[in-house]
Amino acid sequence: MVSLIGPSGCGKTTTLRIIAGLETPTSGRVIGHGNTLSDGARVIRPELREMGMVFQTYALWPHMTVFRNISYGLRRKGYDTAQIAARVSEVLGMMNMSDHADRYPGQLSGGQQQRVALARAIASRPEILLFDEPLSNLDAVLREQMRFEIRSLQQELGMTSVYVTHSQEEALALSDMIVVMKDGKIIQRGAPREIYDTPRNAFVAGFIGLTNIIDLRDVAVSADRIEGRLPGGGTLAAGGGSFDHARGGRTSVSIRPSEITIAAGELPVPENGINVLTGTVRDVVFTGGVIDYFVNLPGGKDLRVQTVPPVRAERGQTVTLAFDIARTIALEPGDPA
Amino acid sequence: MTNLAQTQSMSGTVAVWSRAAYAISIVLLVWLILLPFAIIFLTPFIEEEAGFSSYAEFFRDAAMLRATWNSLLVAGGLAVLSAIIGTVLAFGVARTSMRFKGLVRVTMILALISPEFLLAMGYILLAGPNAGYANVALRNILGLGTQTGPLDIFTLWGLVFTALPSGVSFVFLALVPAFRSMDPALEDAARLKGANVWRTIFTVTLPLARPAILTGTLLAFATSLAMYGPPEMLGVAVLTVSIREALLGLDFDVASVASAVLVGMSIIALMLQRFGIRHAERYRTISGKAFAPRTLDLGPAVHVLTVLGLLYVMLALMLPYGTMLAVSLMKSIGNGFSAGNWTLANFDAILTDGSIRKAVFLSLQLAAACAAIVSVLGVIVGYVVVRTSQRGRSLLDYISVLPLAVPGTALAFALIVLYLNEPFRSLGLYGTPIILLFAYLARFIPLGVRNSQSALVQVGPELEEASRVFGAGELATLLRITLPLILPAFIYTFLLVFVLAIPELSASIVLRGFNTQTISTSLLSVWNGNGGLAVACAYGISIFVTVSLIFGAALAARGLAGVWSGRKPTDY
Repeated sequence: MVSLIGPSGCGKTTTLRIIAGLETPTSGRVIGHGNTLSDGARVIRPELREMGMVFQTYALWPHMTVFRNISYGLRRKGYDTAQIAARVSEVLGMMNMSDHADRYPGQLSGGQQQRVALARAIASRPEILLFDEPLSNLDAVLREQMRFEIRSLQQELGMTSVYVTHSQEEALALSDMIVVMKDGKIIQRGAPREIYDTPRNAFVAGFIGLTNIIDLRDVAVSADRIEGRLPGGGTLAAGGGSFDHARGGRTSVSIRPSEITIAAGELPVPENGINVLTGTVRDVVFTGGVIDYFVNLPGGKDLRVQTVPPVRAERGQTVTLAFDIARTIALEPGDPA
Repeated sequence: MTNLAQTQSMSGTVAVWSRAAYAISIVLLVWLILLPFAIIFLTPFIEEEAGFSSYAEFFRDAAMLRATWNSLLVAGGLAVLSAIIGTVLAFGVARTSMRFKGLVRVTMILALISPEFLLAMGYILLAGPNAGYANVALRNILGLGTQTGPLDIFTLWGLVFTALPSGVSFVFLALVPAFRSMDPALEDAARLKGANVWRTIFTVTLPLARPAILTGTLLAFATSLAMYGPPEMLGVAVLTVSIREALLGLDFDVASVASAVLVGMSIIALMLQRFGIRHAERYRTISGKAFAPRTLDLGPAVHVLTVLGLLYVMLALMLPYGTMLAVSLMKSIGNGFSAGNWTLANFDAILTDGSIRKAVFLSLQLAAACAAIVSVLGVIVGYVVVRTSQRGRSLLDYISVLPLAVPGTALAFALIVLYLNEPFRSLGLYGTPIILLFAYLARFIPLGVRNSQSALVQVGPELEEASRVFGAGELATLLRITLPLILPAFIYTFLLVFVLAIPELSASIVLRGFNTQTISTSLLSVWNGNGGLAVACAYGISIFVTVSLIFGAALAARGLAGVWSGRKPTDY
C-alpha cells in the first residue's frame, strides 16, 4: 500500500485521478501491473482499467440500494445473478453490513456509508484499489477505527493500493510506502519509519510528525557526524541524514520533541554520543498523556520537548536537554516547513 | 486489459456521445433561437430601401414614441410597486409571525403561472367604468349619481394594476429563500451593537437581500415589457401591441424597429440584473449550513402585514376569479347576482362548441410536444454545458437564455419574416401548427435548459466518475446514473413547460391561422363578442383550474426531487 501525502494543492488527488483515468495527463506514462494505461494523450478509459476506488464523498448512488450499489460493477463485468448475490453478501459480511443490503445510502450513517463504499470498491476483486481521502468526512473516533479496518482488509486481500491523504497518522499507520509530495513534485519516498526517522528536508520533517529545526554554523563534517555551532553558543552534532548539503558552513538539523530528555538544573556533560543544551522553560502545557515544554535557548530559539508524565520542570526553571546524536538528523536545504 | 491503440479518446470522460450532444445543441439552438433573433434586427437592412432610415422614421412617429414611453412607464411603475409590495410581503412570510402565510404563498404561485389575460378579464368585469361590479357597488355605497366610475381599468395605471399580482410574485419568490437562508447571527450582531429591530431590518436584513430584490424586480420589469394580452384588452398602446398592429398593416420595417427597441430594453434590464448579482458571493449568507430562520418580533406592526397579505390574496385571486366564476354561472349578466339567474349552460357551451374543442386540442398537442422537446433538449444542452469541456459551451449557455429578452410578439414577427421568405418559404410552414411549435420552443427553451442545468449541478460529478471506475462507459453512466437522478427534475420541467405553454398568447395571436386557433386566441375571440362574456368566463375558469391542477402535479414531482437529493450522502 502506497500513500500519497502532502498539503492541499500538492497534486496528490490529481495523481490518483490520473491513475484512475478520470484525468488526462498532458505527458508522461502510467503503467499499472505491466499494462500501459496512458502514454501522452493516448489514454485507456477508466471503465477498462479494472480498478476499485473509494471517493472522499463516498459517491454512493442515492437512487440505488446498498445491494445495487455494490453489484453495479459486477453486473457491468457480466457476472451472473447467483455469482453477484454470493459476492455481494461476501463483501457485506466482511464489512459487518449484512443487514443493510436493502437500505438506501441516505438511510445509513457516515461510517456505514464508508463501509459500503469500501465493499463496492473491492467487490469485483480489482487489481488496483484507489483511496481518495476516504476518512476525511468522518469524526475522529470513527476515523481511527476505520483506519485499522482498512489496514487489516488491505493486508488480508493483498491488493495493490494507492491511498491519498493529508493526515500523517493515516499515512504512517496504513502504508508500506509513503510518498511525500509538494507543488506537484515528489519530495521523498520510503517506508513510514524511514521517512519519520530520516526526513530528507525540513518540509518532510515538519509534515510527517512534529519536529524542531535547528540551524548550525561553522559546520565541520567527519566520518560519522556533522558538527556545528548554535547561534547562541554551544555546539551540536548530527549523526543521521545527509552530510553532503552543508552550504557556506551552514546546515539545518532536525530533532523530534519526543527524542529529547529534560532535567531541571545544569547537569555535567555525560558520555559521548549525546547532545547537551541548557535553556530556560518558557511554558509547560499539560495535555494528559503528553507534556509539552517550550524551552528557550540562549540564542533566542524555542525548542519543543515532549515527555510522558510526571512533569519534570516548571516554567522559568533552567533545564538541561539531552538527545542522541544518532537521532539528530542533518537535512538537505529546502523550504522551511 | 484492452489494447491501448483501440481505446483512444480525447479525455477520460469525454467521448463520442458528448460530441454528438454538442452538435445537436448547436444546430437546434442556432436554428430555433439565433436565426429569429438576428431577423428582428436585420429585417430593415435586408429589404431594399429601408435600413437605418426606418429607425429614424420610428423615432419621428408620435404614436410609436408614445407606445415606447407607455411600455417604459408601465414596466417601470410595475417594477417599483412590485419591489415595494413584494419585499414587504416576502419579509412578512419569511421572517415574521404574520397570519395566513400559506394562503399568501399559494396566491403568489398561482399569480405567476396563470395566464395574465385571465386577470385582465376579471378586472374588466370588476372595474369597467360603466358596468363594473366594483364600480356599481362603490357608486351605491358612496351615493354617487354618476353612470361611470369612480374606477376605470381601461387606463395605463389600470394596466399596471392588472399586471401587479405577477410582478409582486416575481419579487416575492426571489426574496423568500434569500430571507430564509440569512444567518441570524448577522442580525444578532447588529442588535448587540445597539440597533433596534427596525434599524436592524433597514441596515442589515434588506441590504443583504439586495441581489434578490434586484433579480425579482428586473424580471418583473422585463416580463411586463413583453406582456401582450392585458394591454390589448385594456386598450393601452404599448410596443407589443404596436408590433401586432404594424404586422396587420404589413409594415415589416416598423414591426422590426419596434421589436428591436423592445428587445433592446429587455436585454438592458437582464444585463443590469447580471451586473447587479456579479458580486453575489459578497452577499452569500448560505454556507451550506441550514439556519432555522428566526422570526423577528415586530409588535403590533405584524397585523399590518397580515392585512396587506390578505389584501393581496383578495386582489390577485379572490375578487377577479371569484367574479369570473360568478359570471360564468349566470344566465344573463345584466341580471347580476340574483336568484334564478344561475346556470351551468355556459360550461356546457364550451364543452360542445366545435371550434373551442379544436383549439383546446391543438393547444394541448402543441404544449405536450413543446414540453417534451424542451425538456429533452434542456438535458442535452445542460449536459454539454455542465459536464463536458467542449469549446464554446458557454456560448451555448448564452444562446439558450436569449429568448428571455424576446417578447412573444417580437419572436412571432421574426418567424413570419423567416418562413415567408426564401429559403424557408418553400417549407410552407406559415399558418400551420409547426410554426406555432417553433415559437413555443424558442420561448420555453431557457426554462428547460435552466432547470436541467441546476438539476445536473446537484448531481455530484463523483457519482458519474464512480460509475466509470466501476466499469460503465459514458452512455451507460448517463442512462443508469445521471438520468435516473435527474428524472424528477425532468418531469417537473416537462409539466412546468406544459402548463405554461397551454395558454401561450403573445406569439400565438400573431402566428395563428384560420385553422390553428389556440386556447388563448379562441378565448379572446369568445370574449370579444363571439360567444358572450359569461361563456368566456366559463372558458377562463376552466383554463385556470386545469393549469392550477397540472402545476400541482409538477410541484409533486419536484418534491420527489427534493427527497432524492435529501438522500445524497454528499455534504462537504
